[in-house]
Amino acid sequence: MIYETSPLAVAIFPAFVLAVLGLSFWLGSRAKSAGGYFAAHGQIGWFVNGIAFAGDYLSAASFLGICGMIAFFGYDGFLYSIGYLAGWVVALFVIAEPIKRLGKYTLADALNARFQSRGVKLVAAIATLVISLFYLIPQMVGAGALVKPLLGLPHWAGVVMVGAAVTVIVATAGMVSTTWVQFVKGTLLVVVCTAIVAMILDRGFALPRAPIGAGDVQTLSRGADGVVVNGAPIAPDNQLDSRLREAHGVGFGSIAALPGGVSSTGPLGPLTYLSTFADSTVVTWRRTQGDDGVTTFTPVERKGSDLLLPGANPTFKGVRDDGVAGKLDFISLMLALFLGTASLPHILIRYYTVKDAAAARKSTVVGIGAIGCFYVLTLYLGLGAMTSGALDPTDSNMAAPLLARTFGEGLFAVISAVAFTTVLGTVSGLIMAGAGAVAHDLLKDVLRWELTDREQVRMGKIAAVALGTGAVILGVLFEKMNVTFLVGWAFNIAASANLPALVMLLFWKRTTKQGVIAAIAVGLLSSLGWVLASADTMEKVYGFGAADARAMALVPFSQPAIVTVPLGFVVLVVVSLLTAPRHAQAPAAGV
Amino acid sequence: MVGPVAEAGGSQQFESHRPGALATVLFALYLAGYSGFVLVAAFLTFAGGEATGGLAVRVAGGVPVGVVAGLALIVGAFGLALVYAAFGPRPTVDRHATPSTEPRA
Repeated sequence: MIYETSPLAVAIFPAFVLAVLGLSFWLGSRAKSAGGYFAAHGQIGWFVNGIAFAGDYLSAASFLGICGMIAFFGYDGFLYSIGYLAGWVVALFVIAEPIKRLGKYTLADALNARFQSRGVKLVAAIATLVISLFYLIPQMVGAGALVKPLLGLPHWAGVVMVGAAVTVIVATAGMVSTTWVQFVKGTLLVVVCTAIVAMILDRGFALPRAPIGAGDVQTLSRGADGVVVNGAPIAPDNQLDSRLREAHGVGFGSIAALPGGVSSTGPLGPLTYLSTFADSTVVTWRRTQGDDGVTTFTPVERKGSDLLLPGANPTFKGVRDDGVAGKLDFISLMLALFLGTASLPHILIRYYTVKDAAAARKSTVVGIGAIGCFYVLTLYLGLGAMTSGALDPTDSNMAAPLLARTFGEGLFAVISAVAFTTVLGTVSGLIMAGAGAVAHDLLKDVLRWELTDREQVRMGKIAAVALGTGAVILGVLFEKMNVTFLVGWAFNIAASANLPALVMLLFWKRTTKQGVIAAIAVGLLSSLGWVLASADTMEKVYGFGAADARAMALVPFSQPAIVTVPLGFVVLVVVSLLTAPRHAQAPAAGV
Repeated sequence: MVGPVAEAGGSQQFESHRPGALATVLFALYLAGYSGFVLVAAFLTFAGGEATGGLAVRVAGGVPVGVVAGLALIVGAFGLALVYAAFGPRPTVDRHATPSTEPRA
């Protein structure tokens, strides 16, 4: 779709970004040592750190991706909200305090605390880089999706803007500025989304001017002459939703029938909103791709109650089948979401920015509060977008900003700018994790370069620039992917590579360095290999048709965690037992 | 809860980081709730492609169980975190922490 550029948005957006960059420069003068650059001197207060957790964690996947998935498929997007938040329980009760006690700057520090092994450092650093890269892709894709409607710029321009801004943030003051950017972003995101949900509830539901029916099929094709919509070249007055708006007063995403036969509900309470939605009939749009290259959007009426159940999205479709593979795929993804959070390097390094384990615990509680609040809001944001009449059926990532636009250009500009700082905050954290892995783990500890404190910081900044450049390239290449789907991969890989080693290191005294190395390597390679050989990847990355993708897939389902996480534990135990030194003493009493 | 022993294969002593009793109970409680939710969604909600029960059952004024359970898991996580913050044991001293020599962030 072509989006009209809003002058207000053009004014507000740069102001937000410049304010964030200004904050970064101001704080930049405070961190000169490696301790300051990689861990903010360990002096961030627990409340600020807790909100920064939210700023770090509530990525483009959470804001743009989940809202988009709920808007297009209903409950399936909310499953991500539930899983993402549940992962923090593992972080709080199992990982947070030990990680703080064991580590210094990076996840590899904690994993290597007992061993001083170059091998552990090497595999942990590689795992950090791979996971961060997989997590970076959806953030950059989200940035590209945002600038299209906001500034009228192409996707690649948004990706480059984020890459440049983040490189400045990370290269100026590292973890200090990253923390404050995430704090500001986390606060803004929760506050602005709460305001939008209040407006959604106040607006309630309303029917379109005239019912949308089978005759309202819309077509889109791309040829040598450019984009063609419903048989005519695309133009400001011939957009994909132009005919719908003319005939029905709304675009894509609307209500077909409300309970009691009313035409509008007026303001609704939080529970009444959900029950009213469940009793309504909603117009969704089925997208089909013809052999002639024409994409057809066909209206399909669905019961609201059905949209509040899992299985509408292709990722979760198997949960409705009677076959076992589909159900295992669903369980595997939910397992990855539960275990992945506590294994994400860019989240774990935030435990080093507070002074002690008590502060780590308190900041996790604050983080869970802020993040939980946001994830409750995603349900209303998604359902609000689904019935807003403002969806772009070609881009699910735009659902939340376009929903905001229905409340006015000012809110659209603010929410888009907040979303952009959302991307900045998360990408900054990811690049910090990657830069630490390169400068502190690989160069200093694995390759044993003799680096002074300042040289370590300089190498971290160089690594940050390189990672930022790589992220820009990947963000352009993966433009069409739903960002939540991509983040699901990162969670699978993180849970498989890091969690077995982390948990066994903390709780099993016979864990050896060879066991840790083997578990990380096997978890990383097996989960990565599984993802790359899955039907989802065959279809959505390699571009095969759905039937061909299923036939070519080398694994029975797409989400690997249910296999690869236990595999990591088994490998660690077996290798540790095989490599245990004969002189190991019996444990002392009281352990 | 912590007791040093010779570390197998490493150069330092092993230090157990098992969570305390309260953390274990709270974690088990949440794990049971989350697992139950996932298993009900996978095995008790659909039969032959149609919603037959489980998450599809309506409660709370007509809201499906799936929505109520999802919201409860999110709010419940925060509730358990507050319980742990209020009644959990004080964390052990961080022996690895070093005082900052630079200005506070």
